[in-house]
Amino acid sequence: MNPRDFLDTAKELLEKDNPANCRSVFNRSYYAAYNVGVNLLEDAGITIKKNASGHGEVSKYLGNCGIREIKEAQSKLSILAGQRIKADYRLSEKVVEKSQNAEKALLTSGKIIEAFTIFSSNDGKEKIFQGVNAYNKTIKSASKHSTSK
Amino acid sequence: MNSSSGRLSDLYREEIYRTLFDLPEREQGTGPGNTEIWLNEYAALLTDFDEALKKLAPLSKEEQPCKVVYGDEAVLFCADQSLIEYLSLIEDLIKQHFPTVQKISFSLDYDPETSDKWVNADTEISGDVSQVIEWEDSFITEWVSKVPYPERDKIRLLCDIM
Repeated sequence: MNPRDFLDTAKELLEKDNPANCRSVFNRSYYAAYNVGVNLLEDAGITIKKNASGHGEVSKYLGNCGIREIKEAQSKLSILAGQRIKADYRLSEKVVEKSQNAEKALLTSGKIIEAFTIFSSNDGKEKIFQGVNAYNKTIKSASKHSTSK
Repeated sequence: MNSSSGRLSDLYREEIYRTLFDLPEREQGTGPGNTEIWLNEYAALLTDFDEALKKLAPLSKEEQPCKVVYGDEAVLFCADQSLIEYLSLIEDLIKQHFPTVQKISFSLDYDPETSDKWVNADTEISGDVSQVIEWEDSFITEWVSKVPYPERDKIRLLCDIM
């Protein structure tokens, strides 16, 4: 399925303003953007683990790909991830039960997806691949350097 | 100056002028030079009083200074991860990019699925959703340009629209 469809679910949830729906809007909004990010990286030739550590990998690669727009989208995705944790686990936190905050999460997710979509062309994916490759090389080189010391 | 302090200031000004011109003993036997000195003294007094009123008068929500709360765990985490400089940077950037910010609370949070930890900058802001998103966009642009990864992921802005 297309992860963008989660945004439609989030919109439907937002129509009925109650705490459980608002919390679920955060969840769907995050997963919509996260999965579009996973698809972008995988289409660019970067493998992402299919478990909980995948979230960290997506952040790490998008945050270090060297493309300003993608780095900003990644930063917003991390913010959304933090809100998603509050929405799913911190039941005493009222901030994620407000419709205006849920609406903001939904709109932000749309903007993140928009940024990822701009780079889903062959040229964009190549730039991401090159950026992540350069980052991995830097990390390997730094790791070798620290081991040899 | 807001309207309530303005009214009080006007009353005080009236009182001073009444005192000045209703004290014949001050005027009798004194030359015009002394009156000028008194006027200057009273003018200085008025200025001081206006300043004092500004501090005392209740401010509107927008005029109130932003309250900042640092959780102990958040500060310890930042010290341990060498993030203290970014803690003060994010506070400055939030105040700069969100003109209606009322409160910032720093607290430590973690992901129960991965055990990753970070500091939330829970920020109370008044405004409509599209305006807050616009402010957040400009905040993110500056935050990403100034803070490297992964440091910028370890302190996260969370907006609460009031």
